[in-house]
Amino acid sequence: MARTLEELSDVELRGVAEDIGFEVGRKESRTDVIARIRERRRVINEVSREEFARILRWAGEEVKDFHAKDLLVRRFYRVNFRRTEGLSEDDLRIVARLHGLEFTDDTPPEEIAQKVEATAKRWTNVLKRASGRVVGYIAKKVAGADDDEMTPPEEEEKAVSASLRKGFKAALRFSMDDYIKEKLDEIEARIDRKLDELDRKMDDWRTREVRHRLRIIKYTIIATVVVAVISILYKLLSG
Amino acid sequence: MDFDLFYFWRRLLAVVVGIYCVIVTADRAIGYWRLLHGGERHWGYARRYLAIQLLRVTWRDVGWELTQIVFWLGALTTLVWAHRFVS
Repeated sequence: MARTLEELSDVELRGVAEDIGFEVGRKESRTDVIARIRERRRVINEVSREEFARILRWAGEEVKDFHAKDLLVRRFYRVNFRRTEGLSEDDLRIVARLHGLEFTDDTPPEEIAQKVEATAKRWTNVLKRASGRVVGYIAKKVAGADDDEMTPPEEEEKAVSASLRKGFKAALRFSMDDYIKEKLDEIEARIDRKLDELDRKMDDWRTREVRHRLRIIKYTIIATVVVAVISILYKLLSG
Repeated sequence: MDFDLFYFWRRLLAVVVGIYCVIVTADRAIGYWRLLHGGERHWGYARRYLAIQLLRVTWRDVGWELTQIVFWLGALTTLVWAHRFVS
């Protein structure tokens, strides 16, 4: 049975929060985190699987028909929205809503896009955030570009390295989650097959058992009929 | 009062077999009740599963046996009824 948010440990709660696109502050209380998760889940529930799929396709992600909404939600929060060109107005509003941005029906799409792009850094998945700059940086280093031009400042380098570590951790966790999910599905399918087999065996056993009991009743009646025949013959002969 | 050994045997057979049937049936019923009366959740599941199993018995499974039983019961009733006309 699924546990409630209150039953989860701090680490698990942090994992849930990261899955739906926000990081938990060090000083944030459990109650606040739970409230934020509930609010975010409510917003997610209002968005259909198809809308998530559409946005992910816009972001260049491959979405298959069998991908569950949960998976799409997690992938959605890994997408970097620092650029929103080509995203329709409706989708832009959905993205903004899913990231808890405040806007009204009258807010022009340009303003919403600006807000989304401006706040991207705060909520974008660390792996995506790090990837562009880090991969570029590494590629340039490998290509032997001019050090003075390419070496980032020390602080930025630290941030990038922390980002990369976090990114790897997140990627590892997502892969593990998918692997565990897949294995659990396999185990469930195996248990279902076993249960079906048991059920069929029980069906056979029940049919045999009921037939056996009915046969006993039949033989008892036949024996009674034989006695009745003897009785009628006796009555005939003795009369 | 006339004593007829055959009639005595017939009556004795009916009483003995009747009592035997009642005892065996009651014994089986008590056995099943003891087995399934537990209040734990798994016994609840077992009871429901047993009920479902019994509801899933179809005419194809037991039809032939039931037909034979009906036939023999008919024969028995006819014979018992025919006793009136034999003196």
